[in-house]
Amino acid sequence: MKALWLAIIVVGLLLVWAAAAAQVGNPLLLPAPHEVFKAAATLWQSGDLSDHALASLGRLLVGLAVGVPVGACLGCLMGLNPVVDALLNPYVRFFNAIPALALVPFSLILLGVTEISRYALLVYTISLVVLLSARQGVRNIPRIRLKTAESLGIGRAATLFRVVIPSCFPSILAGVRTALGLGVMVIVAAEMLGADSGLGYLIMQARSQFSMANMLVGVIGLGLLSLLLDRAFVLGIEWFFPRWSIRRRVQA
Amino acid sequence: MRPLSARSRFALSLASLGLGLLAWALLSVGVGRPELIPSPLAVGEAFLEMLASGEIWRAVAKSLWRVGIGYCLGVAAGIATGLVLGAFRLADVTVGPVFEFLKGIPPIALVPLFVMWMGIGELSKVSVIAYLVWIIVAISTAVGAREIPRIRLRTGATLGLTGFQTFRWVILPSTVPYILSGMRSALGFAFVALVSAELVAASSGIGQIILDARFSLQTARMVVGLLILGTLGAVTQALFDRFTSRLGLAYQRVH
Repeated sequence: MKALWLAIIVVGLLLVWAAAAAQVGNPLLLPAPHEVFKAAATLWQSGDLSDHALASLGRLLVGLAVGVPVGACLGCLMGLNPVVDALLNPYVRFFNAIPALALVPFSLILLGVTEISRYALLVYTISLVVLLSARQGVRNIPRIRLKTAESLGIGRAATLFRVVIPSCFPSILAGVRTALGLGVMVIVAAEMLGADSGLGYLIMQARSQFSMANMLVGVIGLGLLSLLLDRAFVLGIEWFFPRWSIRRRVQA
Repeated sequence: MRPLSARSRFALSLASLGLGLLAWALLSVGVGRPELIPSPLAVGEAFLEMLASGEIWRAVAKSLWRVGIGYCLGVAAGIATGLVLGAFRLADVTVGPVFEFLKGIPPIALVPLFVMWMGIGELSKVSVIAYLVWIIVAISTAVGAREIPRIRLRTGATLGLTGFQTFRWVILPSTVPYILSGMRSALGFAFVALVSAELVAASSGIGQIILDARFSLQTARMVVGLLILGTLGAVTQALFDRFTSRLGLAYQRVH
């Protein structure tokens, strides 16, 4: 039922788009849906589309692989240790106020137009988001759990692994989910402002060729990519960690 | 571990910031290339210079104007869309994925499209901001309108409220906290969209200061731009919290 309604809405939107394109009558401004499909097919056959999508995805995965553990550990440390928290919190708040996107030009100067600069940017963005949610997760652990662990005398290591980490894990997962979306935003910006591959580069290339159809392929591809990543993440949690399922929080 | 007293916490934070500043200064001297890592002094000088020439004020005014207009338009459209989506329960179920798809498109990727359609002027920049704000506010409003406890709607029906009365006295107050939280996260994203628009298609504003500095390698000016951007974001966020906390509390009490 839900799928049917979704199909109806998508087809309806495509029809509106086609009608609008026919009205505009200028494929340079607004190509019809079938022209965008054709452009996508051409890009797919030449292998460009998958190459660029994989380049973006690969960067994102590297950023996650490094950024999530770093952010989670630092965040837990800040949540657990008030001294570390007092030392690091001013910086966290400061950098959190600056949109990561705005740092793209800075990283391009500091590290050059290199793969390293893109990785650094992604690791920075992802670890900052995960750090904040991990810190919040640790701070929100009900006192009673910590006190119970203490009075049972299970020791610090056991408290960490059996109370703290399981308690703040859902919060960390929520942070990773936010980081996925922000990571896509930042990597595309980095690719648009200085790169020679990736979906962001595809859009910039299409822009300089005045190919509206290819630009739309890039934009729609990005929307689908982040939607798929988000869904895959939620389903992955459901599958591997049913205990921390976030299905209830899928919306917004 | 025992929590720190407010005073020792403050002292530690201050000491940490001082150390960080010192480390920055030493690093910039050690690297010795101001175009890579400008010293804190150079950044201060650039700031004073830009302040004196009035450049900063012009850029801030321009950027804030764009964010202000785009944000207001986006919020108005988002609340309206969200309430409509929430009112027609089926529409909400189906449009959810569509809106999440739209939300997933990075705003910076949309800038070239909007520039193509609306020219390189103000309209395309304000539109990108309004667009992103619209989606975020619409999603959270729709969620709020959907999550209204059934019992409130039933109570309204029992009391014989008309359609409009139900909207005014049940749906709207129940949705306000969701609208506010959507508006708050949209405020941050409005600045993201602003930077996106100004980095890709800028002729003025803070983003343009940053981009200009990249190509002229005046990194000190870029750092000033970043600092201003961070300050603006933090200040608007704080103002928003200040103005909405009372409103939010009032509506929480209704619950």
